Amino acid sequence: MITADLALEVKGLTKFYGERVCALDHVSLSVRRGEWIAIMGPSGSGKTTFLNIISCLDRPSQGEVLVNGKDITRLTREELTRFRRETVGLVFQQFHLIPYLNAVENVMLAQYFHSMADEAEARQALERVGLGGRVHHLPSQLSGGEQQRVCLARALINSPGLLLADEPTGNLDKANEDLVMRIFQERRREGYTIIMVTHDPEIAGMADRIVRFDHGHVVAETHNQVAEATRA
Amino acid sequence: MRRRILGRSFRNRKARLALAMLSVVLGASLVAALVNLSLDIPQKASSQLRAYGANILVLPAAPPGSDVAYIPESGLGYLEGADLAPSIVGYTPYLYGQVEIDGQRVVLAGVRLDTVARTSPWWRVTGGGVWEVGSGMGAVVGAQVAEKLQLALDREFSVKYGNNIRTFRVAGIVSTGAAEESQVFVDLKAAQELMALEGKVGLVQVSALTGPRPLSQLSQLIEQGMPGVEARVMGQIASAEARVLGKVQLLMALVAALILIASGLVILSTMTTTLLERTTEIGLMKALGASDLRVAELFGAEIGIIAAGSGVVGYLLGYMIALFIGRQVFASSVSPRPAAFLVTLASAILVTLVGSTPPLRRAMKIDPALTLRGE
Ligand SMILES: Nc1ncnc2c1ncn2[C@@H]1O[C@H](COP(=O)(O)OP(=O)(O)O)[C@@H](O)[C@H]1O
Ligand SMILES: [Mg+2]
Repeated sequence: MITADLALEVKGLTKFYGERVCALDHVSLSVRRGEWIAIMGPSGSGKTTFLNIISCLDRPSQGEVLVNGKDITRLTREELTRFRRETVGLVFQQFHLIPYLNAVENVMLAQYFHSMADEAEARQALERVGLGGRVHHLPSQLSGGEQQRVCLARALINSPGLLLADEPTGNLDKANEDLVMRIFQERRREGYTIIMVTHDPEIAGMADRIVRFDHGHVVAETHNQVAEATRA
Repeated sequence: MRRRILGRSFRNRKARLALAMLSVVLGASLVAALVNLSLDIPQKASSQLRAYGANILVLPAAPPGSDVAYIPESGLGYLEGADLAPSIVGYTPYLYGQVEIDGQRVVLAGVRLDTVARTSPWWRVTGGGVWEVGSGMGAVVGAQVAEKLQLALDREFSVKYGNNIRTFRVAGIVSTGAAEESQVFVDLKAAQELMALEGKVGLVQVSALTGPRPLSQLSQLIEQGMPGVEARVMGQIASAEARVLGKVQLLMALVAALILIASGLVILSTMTTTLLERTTEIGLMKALGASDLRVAELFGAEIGIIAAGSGVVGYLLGYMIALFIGRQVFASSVSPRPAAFLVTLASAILVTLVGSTPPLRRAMKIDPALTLRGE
């Protein structure tokens, strides 16, 4: 099996919650390195469950999941944690910043868990997302868009290569959405693999491929020629 | 970075931490007071007995009046011997006799004027210091006798015993609030000569420490070492003190145990609240790749600060409580004890650890996938 150029390879992925709820039902999907995937689908269709499993936060009930060619279904909890901090950057709809740490400290936290905190580097990461003037603000002193950009800086600080985002613009107004999406587009140009859950067709339009989920199945895959063309 | 996170986290939660700490401080301070008192008071109480005077009375075994109702003075050396060291603080032999002074019947006691102060430290002697031990002429006159017979300081007076008469000079007047005030004290040798009882004493008052050996054991030793005597423990004061101390200790131990249990519960509830408040935070940290160690660290630092802080503060507070109880109940000061500090710190750590363990284990089990789902 040649997987070297695949960032993600999922085969027959099934996830049960308890006996009854089947959140994912034999999902298969391959994602090339540097590809941007948009995942769409109604609420409850299994999108978050899918992201949680490929980000090593949750375990599948069945199936194969290879991230960067590594089978993560057999890793212990500790190994999953280590693999996640090396490989994956996470962006959430609710931002999830630590309320008592300021912007730069929130970014440094990810560095600290990964290896070693480096304030200068964390500050630079904030400058890159346009928050050079907000480094010492607490999350409560930042707008939603600014918080999401801190979250992005945090997700990117350890150069994980794979950026997973669950409705990252779900809580943002249009102006902030544009700012945040511009950052994703820049990262894609740098070669990041991006898998993003979104409800917004316009945002999905920026991806190379749109994958539709419904009732735990992948029901459609659409290649976005325009995006691919722009990229090429 | 760790210090930075912890610092921010503490500042964010100082009210709650202070409350948790306060509860452990209360328990720890009682432990400190208890241990400090327990270590310090028995010794202090024992040396305090010296202040209370004699606690063993050595009497001739035969009934008074019979020919052998005296103790040979030569046998008293045993009280200073190695058998009884270091328990015996001092002793005073007494030889009593009824004498006449100015036609009045008075009890005369021959004592060793130089040691009587040790066995009867409560004596208040005016004009004392001129005890004229050497000449054998000095007399310490009880206050009532002095008043009745108008015996002022330095006055000479004659004492009649049978056909013998001897002259003494008032060297001091003693007030004790007890029977001594109607007696006259002279040098043992002079009294022996006056009563023609050379080398004999009637009884011996012994001051002994209770620390090294129980008094009952001491009195047995004395009876074995000095044939023909009976040694009676007079330590009512001593055993009453010991009983009070025992009760105070028991009470404090009970209260300390209850308060420690209560502090453990407060810690448990505080840490559980902390855990609930921080579930999302911990889930997030795990999602960001925090190892179990990093998560434990966050709680561990709080646990450590509560334990160490309340151990130290509790000890200081407890020492003050011990000082207070020592002063109020035992009229004795209490010295700080390193052992008490260690015991206090250990109990603070133990209580905090026991109270924090269940929430800590739950924190370890927090599932990041669940907590981040939000909604
Ligand atoms: N922890 C859970 N326990 C039980 N059911 C769950 C749990 N998480 C998700 N589900 C169920 O799994 C299905 C997929 O959920 P989710 O992946 O969150 O969907 P989406 O993100 O597409 O809205 C839903 O039916 C949801 O109710
Ligand atoms: Mg979802």
